[in-house]
Amino acid sequence: MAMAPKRDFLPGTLDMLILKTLSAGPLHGYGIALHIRDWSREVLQIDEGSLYPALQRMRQKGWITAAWKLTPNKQRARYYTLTARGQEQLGIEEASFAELFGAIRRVMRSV
Amino acid sequence: MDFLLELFQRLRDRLRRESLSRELEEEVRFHTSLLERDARAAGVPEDAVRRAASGRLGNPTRYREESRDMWSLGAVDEWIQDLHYALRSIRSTPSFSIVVTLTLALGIGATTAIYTVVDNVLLRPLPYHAPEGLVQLVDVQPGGNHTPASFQEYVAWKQRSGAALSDVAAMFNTGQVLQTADGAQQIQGAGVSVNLPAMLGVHPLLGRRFRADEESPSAPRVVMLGEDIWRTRFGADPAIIGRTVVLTGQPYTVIGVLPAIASTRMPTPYAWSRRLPDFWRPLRLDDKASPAGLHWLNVIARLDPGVDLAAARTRLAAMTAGIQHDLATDHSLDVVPLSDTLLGNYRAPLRLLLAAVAVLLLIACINTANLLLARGATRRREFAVRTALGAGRRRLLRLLLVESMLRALLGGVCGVGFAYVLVRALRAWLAGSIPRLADASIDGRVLLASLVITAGCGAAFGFLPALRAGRPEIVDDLRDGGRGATGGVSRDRVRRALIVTEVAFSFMLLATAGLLTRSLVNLLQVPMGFHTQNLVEGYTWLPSARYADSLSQKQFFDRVTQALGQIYKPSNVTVVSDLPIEGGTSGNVTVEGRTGSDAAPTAEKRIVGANYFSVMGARIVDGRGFASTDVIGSPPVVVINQTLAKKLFPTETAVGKRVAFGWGIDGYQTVAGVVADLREGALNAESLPAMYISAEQRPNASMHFLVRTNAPVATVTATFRDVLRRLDPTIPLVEARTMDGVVRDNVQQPRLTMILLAAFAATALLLAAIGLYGVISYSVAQRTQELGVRAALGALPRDLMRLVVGQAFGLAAVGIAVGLLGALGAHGLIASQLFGVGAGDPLTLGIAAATMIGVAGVACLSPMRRAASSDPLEALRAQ
Repeated sequence: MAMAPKRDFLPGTLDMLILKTLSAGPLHGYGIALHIRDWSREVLQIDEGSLYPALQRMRQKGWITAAWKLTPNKQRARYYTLTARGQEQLGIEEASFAELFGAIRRVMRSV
Repeated sequence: MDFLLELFQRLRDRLRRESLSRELEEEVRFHTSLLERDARAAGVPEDAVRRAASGRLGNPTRYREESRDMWSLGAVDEWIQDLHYALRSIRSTPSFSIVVTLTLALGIGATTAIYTVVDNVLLRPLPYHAPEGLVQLVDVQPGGNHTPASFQEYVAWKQRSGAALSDVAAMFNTGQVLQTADGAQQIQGAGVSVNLPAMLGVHPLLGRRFRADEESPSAPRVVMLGEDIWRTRFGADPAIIGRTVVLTGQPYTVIGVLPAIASTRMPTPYAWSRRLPDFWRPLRLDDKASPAGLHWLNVIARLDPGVDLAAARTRLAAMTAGIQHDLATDHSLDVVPLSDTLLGNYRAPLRLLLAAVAVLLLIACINTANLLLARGATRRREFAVRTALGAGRRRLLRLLLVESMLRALLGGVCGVGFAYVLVRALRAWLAGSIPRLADASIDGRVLLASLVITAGCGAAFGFLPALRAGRPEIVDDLRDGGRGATGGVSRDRVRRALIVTEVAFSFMLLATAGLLTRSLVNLLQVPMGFHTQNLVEGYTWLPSARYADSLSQKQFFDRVTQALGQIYKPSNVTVVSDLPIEGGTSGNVTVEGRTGSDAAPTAEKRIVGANYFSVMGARIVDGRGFASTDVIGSPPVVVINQTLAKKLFPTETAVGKRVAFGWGIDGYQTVAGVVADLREGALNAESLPAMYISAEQRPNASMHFLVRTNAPVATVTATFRDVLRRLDPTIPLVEARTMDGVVRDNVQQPRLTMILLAAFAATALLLAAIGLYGVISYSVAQRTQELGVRAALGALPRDLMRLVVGQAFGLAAVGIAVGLLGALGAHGLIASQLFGVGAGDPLTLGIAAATMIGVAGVACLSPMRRAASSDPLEALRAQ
């Protein structure tokens, strides 16, 4: 598995990606990392361990909840679920990101 | 709002930190296992699988720490950790911690307690209304003697002093027997001018104050009862107003109830150290009840607003001239602030105590500083290690700050507790003899102040060593021979200077305590002129209603002495109107044929039993004592003491001369003999002139009866009570004491001052010993190598010990020298408390110096032994 060089993320982007991932349904840490890796077609590479501090922070803020469940393979894993507030936050972040993205695109197309 | 929820969640996480951490580990394990599975599925060789998985996860320490950060409270956590370290540090050095705590506690406790006493007794304003305007009016005799006023003087002053005084009132202490259905009880109260309650600002609890017309002797008898009596004897009966009570056989109408507050105490030194009065009644005096020449009233006044003391004195001087003419007297008037009269005696000793306790506080602070600095020095290595492991300078400072504050807090708490205990003890012990002490309570400001000073000192000096930490010298500190580095030398000098100061102060306290002890001993050795041992006295007085004439009074006391004589032998029983040492009635003595103001000195007057001198063991030096021929009807005679004889008849014998006492006895009596002085009046004053009159010729209504016996006081007291009861059940025994007890009471104040100062000196000595021990041991520890080298070069243990001892004695000597200068310089503070010994007394100072040296010797015993056992091999090792 060749690893593409890891990039620095815009701060806060990781949170948005995690929230979006969870909006499809509860997932554990590995699942979230896999989802992001796959859907970004290996472009977004992160230290998967750094998910965990982010997840802790979001849990404290009340955007997600955590619960221990059994995986389909009967292994114990901690699943994270989006809350209503998390949904709200996702909307805010998406809008803010779109605005930022739009602004960058306008500048890039200006000349 | 969100922020609060987040904080709350964070707090919850903080408490669950350990389990959250375990959960994270399990999560990571799970994640890792899946990554490994993926790696294997992708064909990665087995030995590279784990690396691939962990490579995906990234830096484990980083995500662990970052997660952990989410579960901590940041700065608060660090403080908690510091607290934990501080507690551990304190617990790991128990004897050091105990010493520091005790030192702080002693400093804070003693200072607060003494200052509380001084504040309550001296500094608080008097409890009366507008006390700054209250003054005492004093009758001044031509020789400068202060005496109480006579009724005539009071009336004259009251009438004529309008220019300077807005109000004048007189009062006297008096006892009555309260007769109720439950029996007879002796109660203590005062006869007062009707305007006194208003003057002092006393509002009755029930009823009203006195009216102007109730002061004359012909007015119906009224009384204001004290709250205590009203509650205990009358069941707090609200209908007490208007009831009649019987006091010493006379009916009185109760018109009011006095509240149980401090301002109901008569403003006299006597009343101030007693319990609150049981009653007040109007003066009811006239020329018959209180003839001219009878000086017994206490007179106070209120200054006119806008008139100060000096102005009042000037204006009253004019009034005095007029009075002297009209009353044919040569007495004048002085005006003294009331606070001086009540508290003047206590100012000097209390100031001395305050100074002493301030010195003690200083010593405690110095000791704490020394101990903490020394300890800080020994922890240099610990700080170096911490710094090397990454502790920032700020963190280290904070760590030490927490530790110092904790120690200071510990000492402070103990100090507060100690202060409370000490104040309660002082109150219990001294309330009877020092006025206003009974109501003393700790002043919060003082407590706070001494807490801040001592604890602040502790915090500061514990903290100082940290300032060195984090500097480049840590390399030296880490090295095994760590003691090489010396902020050492200059720090050492500071410590030695501190110790010298401590020794100096301790010496001063010790010297002062020694001087006070010698003063007390001198006081007790003042010649009494009679035998004080095995002498028990009882006292009672006869109410004028039933014992109006001299005959019945004489008969009563004759029967008392007869009954006592049957038990204890007549040659061991006698009576006297006022006990020696305590003072009593006094007045002028005039010699027949002489005129002029200096021909009428003041003298004490005592009415005594015929065998008084032989029972007391006093010596007749000229003429004779009283004989069986001196009875009513035969020529009146007196016996005077040597001081009076010398005063009146310096060049000739007094026997046969004719003298008269200023009042009471009409006409002149012949001097039958001269007796060697029995001490009348306080021990630290000169022996007072006195005149003795036989009770046979001049009976008295109030007498002390004295019995010389080995029997225990309790037995004798019971006998007194029994005898009185059999003679007249309504006459109670007012008090019973031993003569030795009377002597002790007279020296109460100097004794107390001495005891307190001795306690301070002992504490200071202990602290100085600890301080010296600390400095010397540290010095020995510092010089281990040097001492080892000396031993290797042939020094005997004896020589090494001499080095240590020399250092200790050197410090002590310098301290003593400085202390000597201080003691001599401060002599003004202590001079007024000394009796029979000067402030620079060489014997006392010498003993104090020797004690100090002795203490220094004891303090260096252990370091001495350590130095003597210096092993050269040990010293030459790198350690």
